[in-house]
Amino acid sequence: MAVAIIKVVDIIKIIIIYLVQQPASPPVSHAHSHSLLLRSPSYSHGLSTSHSLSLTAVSPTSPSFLKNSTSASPNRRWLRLLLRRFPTSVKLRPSLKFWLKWLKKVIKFSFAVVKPLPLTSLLLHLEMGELAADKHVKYIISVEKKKDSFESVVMEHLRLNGAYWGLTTLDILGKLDAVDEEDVISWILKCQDESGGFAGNIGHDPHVLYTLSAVQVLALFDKVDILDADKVSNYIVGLQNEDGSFSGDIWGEVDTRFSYIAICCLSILQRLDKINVDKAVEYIVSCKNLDGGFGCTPGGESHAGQIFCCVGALAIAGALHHVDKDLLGWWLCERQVKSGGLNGRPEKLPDVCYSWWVLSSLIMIDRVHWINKDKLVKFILDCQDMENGGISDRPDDAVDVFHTYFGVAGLSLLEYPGLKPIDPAYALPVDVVNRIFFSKK
Amino acid sequence: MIHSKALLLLSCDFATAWNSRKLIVSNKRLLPILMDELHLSALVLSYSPKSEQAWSHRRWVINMIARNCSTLQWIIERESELVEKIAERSKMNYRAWNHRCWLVSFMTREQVLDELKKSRNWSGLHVADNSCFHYRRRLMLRNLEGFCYTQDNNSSGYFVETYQIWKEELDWNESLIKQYVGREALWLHRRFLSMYLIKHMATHLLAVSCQSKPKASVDIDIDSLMDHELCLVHSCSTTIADANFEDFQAQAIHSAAYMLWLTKQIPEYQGIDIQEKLRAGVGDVTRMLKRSCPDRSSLWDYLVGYHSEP
Repeated sequence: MAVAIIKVVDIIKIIIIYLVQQPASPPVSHAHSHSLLLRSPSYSHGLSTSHSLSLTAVSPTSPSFLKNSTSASPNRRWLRLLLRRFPTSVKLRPSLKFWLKWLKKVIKFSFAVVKPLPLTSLLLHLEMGELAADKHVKYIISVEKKKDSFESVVMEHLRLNGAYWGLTTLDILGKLDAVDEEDVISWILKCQDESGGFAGNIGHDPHVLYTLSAVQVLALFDKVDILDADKVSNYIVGLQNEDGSFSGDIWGEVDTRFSYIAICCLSILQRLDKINVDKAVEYIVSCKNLDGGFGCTPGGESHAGQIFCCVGALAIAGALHHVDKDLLGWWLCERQVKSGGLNGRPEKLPDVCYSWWVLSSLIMIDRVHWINKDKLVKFILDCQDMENGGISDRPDDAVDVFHTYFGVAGLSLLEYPGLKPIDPAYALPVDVVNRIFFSKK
Repeated sequence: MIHSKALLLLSCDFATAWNSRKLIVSNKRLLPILMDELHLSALVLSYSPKSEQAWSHRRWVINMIARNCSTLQWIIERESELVEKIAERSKMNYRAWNHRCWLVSFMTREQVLDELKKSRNWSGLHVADNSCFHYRRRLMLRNLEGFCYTQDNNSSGYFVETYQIWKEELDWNESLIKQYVGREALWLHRRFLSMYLIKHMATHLLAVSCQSKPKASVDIDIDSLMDHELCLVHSCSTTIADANFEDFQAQAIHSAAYMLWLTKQIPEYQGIDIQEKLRAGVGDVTRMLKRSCPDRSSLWDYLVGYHSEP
């Protein structure tokens, strides 16, 4: 009896969720998991196999109803899901069976007739909060335009990183056309140094950090081919050291972040074979600690950001088998605190940027079910500034572009409706990554 | 140089300014000039302790000094003290502690042991600082590395000393755990200590005892060690006296997770009766975890279910 009641409550919940969801958005979550699952075998077998996988793209383990209704509208799909979940062959008391049948008729009728009611959406969203997408878009555009404010002058040396954060957020929210593409691209090209690397702004010294951001932004606009890929890749290749590690620039600072940058950047430029990948992987593995995590150098403390870089690098290089997934998954899931947010190291406060780094690492090692996703979504939504737009590191702090990007990217990984899916290893929207690797040029 | 100094005082992460200073200094390579650079970066770090460029500049300068001059040991001691001062004001500063761990690779064995002693008091006052415990782990590992390389007559004496250090650290950690209830950093430190003791030191004992004198003073009895750990975990998890204080609940969760973690890490060949004991322990542990933190019960199921890699 209790079981049957729970099922009825489930039906009502599904009705409300359906009514509240934006009907116009395509089934985003399925595309997201589709590309990720295409990727996940490739993470262990190297990128070369992913090409063959894409050509024989089989529907992944998404609910079976998708297979039958590729052309049907989202409405029909939800209906089929509902009906399939609650077949009338369930052994219930006859009176309950009758009620269930009647309820299904009501649902069919309401799907056909009733449009999303403002009241029900308000009720649900009051509980969880809502993503103020338009406000965030306005905030990012205002940051981009204000070149003379104190904040932008102080951040002048990393403007290229800021461009990547802002523009990727806009792309995930589907508003990349709000910026002037020509303007951005011409400015980026001016940031390129004669060595091939990019600097944070015009006239500054080159560094791999900005080189990756430049390549990523050009990928967003599908203009990677305007670069001299050999020149850029030669700059990066020249920074690999004998032990396989990478320096950030000519001054020699070594960090596993730079290994990730090198591998990711060369992979986008499709020049990964120019470096000694095995040695690079060997160096990253040497930075593995006893708790399963990775530091910035061998023996360095495990840090969620460094872990993301190492796991991402190994994923792109097809060497994820070096990661002890259970041990690392354990360390990562211990990052979730009571409020639902994630921190970067033990005993630290939660921060929205870790909702990206920890989450994407968990997804890459396939342990994301070890954290409570709903609580994390609620935490990120609580960190928004609902009046002026933008997301801060913690609820009620000041906002910035950095955390806005990580908050929105984290929500995308959590399959929040209305957002484009993002690739956890490349940190670019899935359609951009697919365009780079799977379109015949 | 003056311009770059002014610029850096305003915007400490302005890499181009630091690079221009490096360019000028690398042409001269005199100790006073290099010390000046250390002063400037210390000044910048005093108001901006997380500045990645400043730390990186210090490392570059120290590398230059190491190549040309021989006052390295003294400089390393001063650097270590500087990091401790900065860490006092800026807790769990990743960059600062990373710098200190980087210094360890330049230290001699005496310096390593000295650092362990000196930093112990500071760590005892900052039990929530995971980074300082990680630094201690780094020092202890460095000490162990040194042992692996000196396989000669002194090795058994070296081994005894290393084992003593390890045992002392475990006892000190236990006293801190009982004193400061529910501190995750302490339990994580304990995970490392027990695991290393059981996995690695036991095998070394076998290697050493074959050649040297009776090992009466160094009796690593894995059985009694595990008994001791089980006792500790039980005592910590049963004191959920006051459900209002989160600390006790945290202590219970951490101790149970520690036990679970340990059972996953102990290799199979250590003996069947230990496995039996641990299996009995795991049953308790799962119940403990679910009782103290019921909303994550599915996570505990996953963790209990997974098999550790050999």
